[in-house]
Amino acid sequence: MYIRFFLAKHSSLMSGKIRPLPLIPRTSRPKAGNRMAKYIIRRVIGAVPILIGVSLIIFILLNIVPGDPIALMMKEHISPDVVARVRAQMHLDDPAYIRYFRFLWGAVQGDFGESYKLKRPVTELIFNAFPNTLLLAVAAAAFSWIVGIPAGIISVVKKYSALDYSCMGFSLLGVSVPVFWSALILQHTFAVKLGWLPVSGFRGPLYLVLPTVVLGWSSAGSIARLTRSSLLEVMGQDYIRTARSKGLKELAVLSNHALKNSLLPVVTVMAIQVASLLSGAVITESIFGIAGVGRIVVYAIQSRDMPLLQGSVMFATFLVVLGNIVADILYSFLDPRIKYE
Amino acid sequence: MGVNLDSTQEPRLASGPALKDTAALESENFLREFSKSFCRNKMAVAGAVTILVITSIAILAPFVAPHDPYQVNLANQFAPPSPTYLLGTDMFGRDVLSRIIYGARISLLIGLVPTFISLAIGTFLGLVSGYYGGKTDYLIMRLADIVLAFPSLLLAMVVMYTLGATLLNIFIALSAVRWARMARVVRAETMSLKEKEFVEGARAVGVSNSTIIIRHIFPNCVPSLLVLFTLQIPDAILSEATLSFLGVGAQPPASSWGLMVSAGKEFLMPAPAIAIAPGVAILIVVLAFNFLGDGIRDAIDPYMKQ
Repeated sequence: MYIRFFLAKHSSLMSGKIRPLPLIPRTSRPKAGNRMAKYIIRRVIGAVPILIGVSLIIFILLNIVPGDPIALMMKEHISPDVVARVRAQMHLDDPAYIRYFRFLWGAVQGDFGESYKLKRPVTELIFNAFPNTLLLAVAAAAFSWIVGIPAGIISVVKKYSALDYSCMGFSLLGVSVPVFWSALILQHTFAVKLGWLPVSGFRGPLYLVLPTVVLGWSSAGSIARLTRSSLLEVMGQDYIRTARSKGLKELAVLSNHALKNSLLPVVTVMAIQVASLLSGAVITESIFGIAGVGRIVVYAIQSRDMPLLQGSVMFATFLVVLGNIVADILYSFLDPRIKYE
Repeated sequence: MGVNLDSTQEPRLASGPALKDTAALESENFLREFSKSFCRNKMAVAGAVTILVITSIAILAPFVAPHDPYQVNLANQFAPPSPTYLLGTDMFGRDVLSRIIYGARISLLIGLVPTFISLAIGTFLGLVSGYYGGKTDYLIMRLADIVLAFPSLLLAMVVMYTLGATLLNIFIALSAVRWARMARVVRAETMSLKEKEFVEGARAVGVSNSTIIIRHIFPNCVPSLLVLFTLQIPDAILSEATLSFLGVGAQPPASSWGLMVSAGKEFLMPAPAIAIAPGVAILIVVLAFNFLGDGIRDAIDPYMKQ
C-alpha cells in the first residue's frame, strides 16, 4: 500500500531512470513507431514469466493450506463414499503438479473454477465485482492527482510559507494515517453523526464520496511529496537558470519550463498506484460495503474459499503487471530521452 | 566540507597507517556533520524523541500501565474517561490506556523485527545480485519482480491465510513481502560501487570477492540502508495494524492497535475512544518514524551524492 510512499521518498535512491534531466529537444527518429511496437511486444512477452511465477506462488501458498475443502463445503455426517466421489470430481487426489497445470491452463482461459461457498464460477463473481472496484479506483486516483499535484506545486512556489507547511502536513498525514481508521472516523462523522452522506453501499454518486476521499488521500499525499521533490530538483537545473536569466517571470519559468519535466516521475507512480489502490480497496470496500474485488478477497479469506481467493489474487496481480506495462509505455512515450530497451 | 576532504587527500597517498587515520578522520567528520545537520531538523529530533519515549513506555509497560490490560470487568463496560481510567474502558471493561500501552510492544516489535529480517535478506540478495551479475542476478531479480507484482497487502493476507494468524507468522508474512524492494535498492548501489576505483584496487591486490563485498561495498551501502530501515518501519506497523483489523493478524485478546480499532468500531456511538485512541497511537508512531527517516535521509543525502 505504501510502495508509492516509499518511491516518493526514495526517488533519489532509485535508478537514474526516473530522475529528470534537462530537456533535450525532440529530434525525429527513424521508424519510431516501429520501435515502439517492438518495445510493447517485448514488454508484454516479458510479463509472461512473471505471471507464471505469480501463479506458482499463489498455487503453492493456497494448496499447502491445512484443512479439508470437502469439510468446508458440506455439512457433517456425510458418508465416505460421497466424500470420495466429490474429491474425485474436484480432482483433489491428483498429484500437485497436475493440479497446478490444470489451474494454470484454466487461468489462461479465464477459468478459475467454482467458489466453494457461493457455488458460482469465480470468474463471473470477479467480473461482476470489478466495475465497482474500477470506479472506486479511478475516482480515488483522480482525486489524488487533482489534489496531490497542485499541493506539491504550491508547496514549491510558496516554499517555507505557512501554505507549504500545511500542504506538506496534509500529505504526510495522508501517508501516515491508517486507511481503515480514517475510513471509520470519516464514516462515523459525516455519515452516521451528521448524516450528510450515505453510510455504506453503492447506489449512486454520493455513495462514492467518502470511499474516494479515504482511498485517494494517501495517494494524494505521496503524489504531493513526489511532485514537490521532483520540482525542487528540476528548479535547480541549468536550463531553469537560463530561463530565469532571460527575464521570465517565476510563474512562466515554472509553468512553461519546469513543470513538464518534473511531472515525468509522477507519471511512473501511476503504475505503482494500481497496486496500492487495490490494496487500499480491500479495506475501503469492506468498511463502506462496496461489492468489489477487495471485498471478495476478504470474504474468501474469512470463509476459507480457496478457489475464490486464488482467482481474485491472481486477477489483482494481473492488473498490477498490466499497470506496470502501461506506465512504462506511457513514460517512454512522454519522455523521448528514454530508449526503448 | 570540501576543504576537509582536500586536506585529507594528501596522507591517503602516503603510507599504510596514515591511510587508516584518514578513514577514521573521515568517518568522524561524517558523524559530526551528520549529527549537526540532523539536529538542525526540528521535526526529525521531535520524531526521535517521540520514538524514544514510546519505546521506553513499551519496555516498561508493566510499570507504566495503570491497570491490567487483560482484566475483564463486565460491571465496568464503556466507562467514560475519568481520572482512574484516563481513556475510559472498552466493551469488556478493560482499561483502554493500558491496552494501548501494551499494544506499543506489539507495534514496535512488528515494526522492527520483520523490517530487520527483510533488510537482511534484501541486503544479502542485493549485494550478491549486483556484484556477481549474470545468471544469479537474473534469477534474483526475476524473483523480486514476481514478489513486487503482488499488491503487498494481498500477498501478506494470503501468507497469513496459509500459515495461520500468529505473531511469528506476521513476521514471516511481512518479511516475505518486503525483501524485494530492499534488494533492488542494494543491487543498484552495489552495481555503481563495484565500478569505483577502491574496489578495483582491492581486486587488483588479490582481495577475494566475499571480502570486497563485506569490507568495501557493504559499508558504503549502510547510509542508504539506514534510511530504508527507518522508513520501512512505519510501513510494517501500518501493515500489521491493517492485517489485524481485517482479522488475519494478531488475535484477541492481544492488545494490537489494529485489533483494538476493529473491535471498537462497533461501539463508536457509546464510547468513541475505544476505536479512536489506538488509531491516534498508530498515527503518532508512524509520523514519528517518518519524520526520523526524512531527517536521516536529508542529513545523509549530501554524502550520498559525493
